[in-house]
Amino acid sequence: MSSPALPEPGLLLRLTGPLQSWGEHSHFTDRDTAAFPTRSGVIGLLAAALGRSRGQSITDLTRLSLTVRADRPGVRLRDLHTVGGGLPAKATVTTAEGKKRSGDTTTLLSHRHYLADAAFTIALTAPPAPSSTPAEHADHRDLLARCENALHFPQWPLYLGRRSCPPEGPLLVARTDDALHHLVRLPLAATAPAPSGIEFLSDRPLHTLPVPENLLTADTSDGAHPAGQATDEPLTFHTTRRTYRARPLYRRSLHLPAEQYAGLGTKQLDALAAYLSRHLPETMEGNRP
Amino acid sequence: MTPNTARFIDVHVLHPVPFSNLNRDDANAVKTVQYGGTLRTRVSSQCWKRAAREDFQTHIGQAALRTRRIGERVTSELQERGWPADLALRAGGHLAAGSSIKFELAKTKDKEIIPNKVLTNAMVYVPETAVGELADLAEEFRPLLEAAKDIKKPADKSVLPKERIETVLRSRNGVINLFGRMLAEVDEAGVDGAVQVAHALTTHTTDVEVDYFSAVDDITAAWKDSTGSGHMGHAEYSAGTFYRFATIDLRDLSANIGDEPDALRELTSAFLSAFIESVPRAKKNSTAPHTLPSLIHVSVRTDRPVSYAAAFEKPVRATETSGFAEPSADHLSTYAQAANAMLGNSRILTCGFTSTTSKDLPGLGIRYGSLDELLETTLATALTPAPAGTSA
Repeated sequence: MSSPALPEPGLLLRLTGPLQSWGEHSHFTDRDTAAFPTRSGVIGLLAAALGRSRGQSITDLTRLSLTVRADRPGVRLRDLHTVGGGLPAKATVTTAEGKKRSGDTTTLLSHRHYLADAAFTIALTAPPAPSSTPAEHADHRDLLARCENALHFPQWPLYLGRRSCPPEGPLLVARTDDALHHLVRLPLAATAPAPSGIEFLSDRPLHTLPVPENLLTADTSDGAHPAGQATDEPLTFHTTRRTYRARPLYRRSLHLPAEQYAGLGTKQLDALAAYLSRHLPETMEGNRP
Repeated sequence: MTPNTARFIDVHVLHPVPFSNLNRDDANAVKTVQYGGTLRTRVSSQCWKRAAREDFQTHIGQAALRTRRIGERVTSELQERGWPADLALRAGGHLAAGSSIKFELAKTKDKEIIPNKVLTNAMVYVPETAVGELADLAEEFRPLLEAAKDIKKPADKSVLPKERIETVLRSRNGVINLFGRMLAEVDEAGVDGAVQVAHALTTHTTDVEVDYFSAVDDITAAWKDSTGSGHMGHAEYSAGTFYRFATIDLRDLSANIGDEPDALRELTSAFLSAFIESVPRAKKNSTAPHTLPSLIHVSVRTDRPVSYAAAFEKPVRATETSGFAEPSADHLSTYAQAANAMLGNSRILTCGFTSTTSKDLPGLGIRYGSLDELLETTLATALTPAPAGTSA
């Protein structure tokens, strides 16, 4: 059993709403979604909050590490969407008679995939490099503080992967000096423990996740090695040169205590407020500058 | 630091809709979504936004035109102005071919190309007045058009100045300033919309009803010489109280308009009324789903929009006496209170509601007797600049 990593400052966010959609391989009329918030989606959300336009640099944001806790993984939903035309007839849907419509009445069909009923809690952390100088440390903290402020007062309205998917309720939970510790312990937006436990997904090894001793099981998959990869590491969001590269994807499931399942809607918010006032009182409204 | 200027107007609507199918999928089925572990009826944001946009256009008396056939439209305008048919057709062709938007030519039933009948590959989205402006442009260059060749293939070049045509294609009106425009083919013609609309979903679990129907054959019925119906079929419907949410970004909207406070007020007010009162018109003749909301809650925020969808994550249950409207209002109020306790009430400049239920709803701010009063106070607060030097 490896020892937990040093505390890392970070932001804790709730990404929840009736619908979300985190495109991965979206192409023209088929807009897919990954099963969890992607790095490009979350970094894009931060960039929008900060008011970065498409071509602007995001290299400071991509230094942040993203760990996702899937409170409720949700279910997939396919939505049919029609647009009034714009493609040559041969590229459009076939009519009931097996023919194609004439040029000026062609309707474009697109399929949009969503995650319905999903709730994620995420930690965005700034891991201090072993050799980092005090100046670099301060730089990280400064970045987190700017992101925190931007999430409170975003430059552009934020959405969960697609503009028709606004986040519900509070988006930013807290800025803290030990983000992963709280990510494991914050009340869950779910009603009852699932047999497979709660899944954590990250861009970094998860065996050092600060899990309470009594929750550790004999499970051999402790997230020390990548379970696969995700092609969602954004290099630039430039409109004509948008590029991503692959990054390792680590997974780990934990059986969190039953009392951590706070329920839905108002109940979960109340539990969250109670947790914050007990453990992170400085982040509560009123104590904030 | 907390900015104290109005930035967003959030509007939350509880809207009971009877047996209807406002928005269907490719199998004519009612659109649904799972939320809080149960099935809800859903109307997509695009669907309700279109209904709101059409009402909005009527409210402000401006129309916008979304079409691939802009050239043909100008041709008919020129014919009304007394141009000979051939020349009007050529002028329409040259106008439609003259921008950076690629195009193809319409064909007859026998697949023969119709010269000058140009279809742009992307739809342009312009104020209705653009038709007149393009026709004026054609008038100005009439001698050039008289001497020009017809447009017969997608590679043919227009004799008209591209920049002048694109200036018209870039023009906007209130509809475009508010809802935005996507037109990648013409530089700087894209406009980021200033409203965001969420998918509407019912506050409670719903079932989709399959309605079997048959149609009487009048002659069979009159002569009674046979039994059975002339046609049989089935259709899907559902009923429920929807939670609808939209938000207006006042800063984006005023940036789109330019410095015009009167226009800002007019567009904001017209959108709020249109969004609140609109109902998508699918199957309107079979179900007449023309209902009014049972509750409207509006808040003016300085920070960010906040949806209260999770008020209904745990589905509302109707009691024998309550129906869905009243307990939905309670859920909304309780949730709003919890969310604002976490976010801080200081970021709300004003909030209030008007409702058909007479219950106390402390989470939703001031109760107003009518929608007009609610909107009047909202707009007065949202559009009055904060006095200098104050802090929230």
